[in-house]
Amino acid sequence: MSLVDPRLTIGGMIGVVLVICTLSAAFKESPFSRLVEFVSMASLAGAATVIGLQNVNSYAIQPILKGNYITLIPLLLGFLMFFQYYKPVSWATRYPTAVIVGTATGLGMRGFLDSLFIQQITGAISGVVKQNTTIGLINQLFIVALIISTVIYFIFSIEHKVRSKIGTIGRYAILIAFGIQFAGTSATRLSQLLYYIRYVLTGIL
Amino acid sequence: MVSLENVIKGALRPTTVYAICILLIGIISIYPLNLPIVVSDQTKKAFNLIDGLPSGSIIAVSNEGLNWDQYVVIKSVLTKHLLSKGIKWVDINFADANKMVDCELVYKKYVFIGGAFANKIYGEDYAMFTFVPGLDAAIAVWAKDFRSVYKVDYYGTPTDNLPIMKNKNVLEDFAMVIVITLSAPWSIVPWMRVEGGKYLNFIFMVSGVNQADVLPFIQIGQIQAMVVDVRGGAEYEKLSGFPGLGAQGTDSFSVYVILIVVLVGISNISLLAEETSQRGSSKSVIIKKEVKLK
Repeated sequence: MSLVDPRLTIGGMIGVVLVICTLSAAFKESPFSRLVEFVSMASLAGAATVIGLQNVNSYAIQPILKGNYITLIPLLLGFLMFFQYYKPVSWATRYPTAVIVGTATGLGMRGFLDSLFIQQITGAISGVVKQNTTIGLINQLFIVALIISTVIYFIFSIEHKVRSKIGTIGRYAILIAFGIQFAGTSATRLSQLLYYIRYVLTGIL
Repeated sequence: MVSLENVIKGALRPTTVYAICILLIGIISIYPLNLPIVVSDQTKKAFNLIDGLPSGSIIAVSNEGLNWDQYVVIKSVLTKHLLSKGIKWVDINFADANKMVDCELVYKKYVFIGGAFANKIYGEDYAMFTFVPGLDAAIAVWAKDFRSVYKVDYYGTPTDNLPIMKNKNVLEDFAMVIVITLSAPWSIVPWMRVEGGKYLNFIFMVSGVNQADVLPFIQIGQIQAMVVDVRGGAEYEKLSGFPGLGAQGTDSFSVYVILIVVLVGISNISLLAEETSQRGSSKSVIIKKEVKLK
C-alpha cells in the first residue's frame, strides 16, 4: 500500500506536510503555500550550485592538478562570465559567450540536414509507398496533405487568395496538434497530482 | 425559487470541485475498482522490441529526466523486465544532474527489494554512470568513445574494471539505447543527430507532455517505439507481469478523467442555460438577476 512508506522516516512525514501545504494553494494562498515555494526554489538553487561546483572540480580543477593544463582554458572562460556583473569590464563576457554559441551552432549543424530535414521529408513521402493496407494508405496521404498545407500556411509570399484556402487546412492541423499537446500536458499534470494525493493518503492512513 | 443555473454555478465553485476530486481519489485509492488496462500499440511495440533482445545483450539506458512519479513507475518496471530477461544495461545521464540519485533509489526501494534478483551483480549485469554536462556535445563524444566521457562509474570504479564494459566503447556496441526523458524535443534532437542519424535503435520513454514531439520521429522510423507517462508504465507492467505503482494509479486516473469530462459537460450546459435565459429575457421584460458566485 505504501509508496515510500513515509511513516517510517521523518523525511517522509516532512514530505507529506509539504505536499499538503502545496495542495492548499489550490484553495487559497497562505503562508504555508508560500513557504513551500520558497523551500523548493531554495533547494533547487542549492542543488544546482553544488552540482555546478562539483562539475568545475571534476572537469577542470582535478585535471589541472594531474597535469592536464589544457582545461585552464575553459576554466578561464567560465571565470570571464562573471565579469558581466561589473560594467566597466563586462565586455570580457563576449569571448566565452562566443565560444558557447559557436560550439552549440557547430554541434547543432552536425547531422541536422540529414537526420532532421531530409529524413523527415523522405520518411513522410515514402511512407505512402510503404503502406500495405488501404486504410494505412489513406492515413498516410492525409498526413502528407496536412504537412503540405501547414507549410503553405507559413509561406507569406504566395498570393493571399491561393494561400488562404490551402493554408486554412494547415491552420486546423496546427490547432489539432496543439490540442493533442494540451491533452498530453493535462494528463501528465493529472497523474502527478494523483501520485501526490496518494502519497499523502498512504502516509496518513 | 432556486434556478438550475445557480445550482450549477454553486456546484462548480473551485473549492467544491477540488474537494470532490480529492475525496474521489482518496476513496478509489483505498477501494480500487480494478478497471482493465488497455495496452497501446506503442507500448506493445516497445515491450516486444526489448523482449526480443537475446539474453546477455547489453543496452544503454539514458536517464535524462521525468518527474519522480513517472520515473519510478517506468524505471522500476523496465529494470525488472531487463533483469528477468537476462539483458544487461548501463545507466548513463547527460541531462538531469539529480536523476542518478533517483535511479539508485528506484533500485534500492523498488527493484532489489526483499531479495528480488539477488543473483544479479553490479558491474556484471548492470552499471551506473554519473551525470555528464553538455548534452549535445557529451552525447556526440560518448557515441564515439565511451571511456573518454566515463572514466569511472557512479561509485568511482574505473570503467575498464567493470566486466560489463568489456569490448564496449562506441554507440554501435550497444544493442539498443533507451532514453527516459522529460524535455523533448531538445533532448530528442541530440540523439537523432548522433552518428549522422545512422543509428536507429532507439526507444523513448517520455512524459505525456512530449508525446506529440516524439511521434514524427516514430512515423519515419528514427525512433522505434515509445512508452508514455505513468499510463504507459502501467501498460508495460501488464505486459511484463510485474504489477507496481503504475497499475495502482490507473483507476483513479480513469475516474478523474471521467470527472473532468462530466464537469466540462456541466459547464457547457450552464453556459447554454445562461445564454438561453438572457436571450429570453431580452425579448420580453428585462429582469434584473443578481448572480452570486459566492
